[in-house]
Amino acid sequence: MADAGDAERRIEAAVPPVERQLVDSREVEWIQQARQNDAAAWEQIVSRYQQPVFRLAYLILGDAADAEEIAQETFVRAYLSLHRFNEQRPFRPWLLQIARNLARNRRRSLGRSWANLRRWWQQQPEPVEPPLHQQRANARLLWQAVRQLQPVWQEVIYLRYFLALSEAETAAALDIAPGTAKSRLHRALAALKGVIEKDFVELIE
Amino acid sequence: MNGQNSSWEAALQETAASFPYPPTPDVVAGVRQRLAAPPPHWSRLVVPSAPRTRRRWAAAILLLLLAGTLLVVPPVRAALVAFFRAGAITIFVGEPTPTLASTQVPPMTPPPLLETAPGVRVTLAEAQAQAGFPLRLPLEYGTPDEVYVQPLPDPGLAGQVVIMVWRDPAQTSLPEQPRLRLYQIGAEEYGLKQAAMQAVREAWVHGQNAFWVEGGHVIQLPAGPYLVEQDVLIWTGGSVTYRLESGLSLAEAVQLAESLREIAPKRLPTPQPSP
Repeated sequence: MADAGDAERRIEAAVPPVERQLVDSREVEWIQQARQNDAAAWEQIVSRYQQPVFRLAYLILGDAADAEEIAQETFVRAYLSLHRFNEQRPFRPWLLQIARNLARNRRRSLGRSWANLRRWWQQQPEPVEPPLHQQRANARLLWQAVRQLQPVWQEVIYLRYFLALSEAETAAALDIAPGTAKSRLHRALAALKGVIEKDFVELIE
Repeated sequence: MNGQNSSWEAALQETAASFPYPPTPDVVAGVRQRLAAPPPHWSRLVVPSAPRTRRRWAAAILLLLLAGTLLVVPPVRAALVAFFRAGAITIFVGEPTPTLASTQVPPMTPPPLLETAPGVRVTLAEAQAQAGFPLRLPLEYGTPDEVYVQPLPDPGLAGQVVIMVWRDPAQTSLPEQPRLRLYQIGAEEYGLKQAAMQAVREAWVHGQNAFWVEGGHVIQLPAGPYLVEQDVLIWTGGSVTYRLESGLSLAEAVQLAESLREIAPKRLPTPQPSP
């Protein structure tokens, strides 16, 4: 059974030396100041990363209010766990890992009932949804296709393609080795292709 | 094959990059507030503990009690079709049953309708101090004419309900309908609404799902059923549920909802003794 040390080593391996050098020195400074209870420094971090954290939570949960709560909780928990963060590693994947775990737990607790009600509601006439530009409409369709996959495949696609993380960052955010991330992505893409060809052919046209 | 894969991946990335996310909310203030809370609060945030579980049970029991009492009120008894959660408010959607008028069976005695939603009148600063979450004000309406805090019957439910009222300056005679009543509900469970299917519409506030309930309806509050005569917009922001009663159109109500801003602590008037 893997211990915490294994997990740390896997993440170390997931971040190539070049990327480790790209760690923002100002960001490291903020983190160090936040560890000394400097709230203003932590707020700089929150401002910088609230968008990707909120977006990942939104992709996983599909509800902006829930995503906002998860984003807030992510920064609270990250602050409490700062002593465990290794400054030699990029910060964003570490933060996204927390957000992903929280959003996953929330999704499990929400269950299916709300989703069923929402589906029923969406089948009612007179939808008032604002029209979307074609490319944005396609992106929403793509999201619907991704949501039909297993959660682990959804997450790897969200991180790599929707949030445009590098392969190394994706692996770190998922707390898995780079090779595992690569093969997971490969299988997720194959499954996504199948879903699109079956139910979302308009994305191919 | 690799070329095909890379072009498929490129197309995927390009499409995904156009995803229409809702606007990212600014969570800095919320994080600041939670970090400023006393340490015992932290343990509840990190690990759901017994008090949280108790709150959920209390909320569930309240929901059942409210549902039971709601159906005793003849005007709101109906063939329920579905229900929706809008934050702390549950909306039952149904169609009125004709048997109410034609049946020979005498209905159960309904509880009297409350004339106003109950609450203790306070100043805005007192409401902010008691709320436990940042209160928000609509940009164009300034500070409210009256503010009420509505305690929940079971302290285990946690949270507060703050009601802000804006009067119409041109209408001074009583009885009157206030221009706006804005409820800011920091509780997990608050009330039940019952409305006819055609009276409930889905709406969007900041790109998030909201509900618009048109016309008169009854909301079952912990203190009793309360007749709402105006249209209502219900939406959520973080863990707070907002409920706006007004004579505004849906578009105007959404505009007001999207204009809400947190009150800067410095700008809160000094607390005055309540009348």
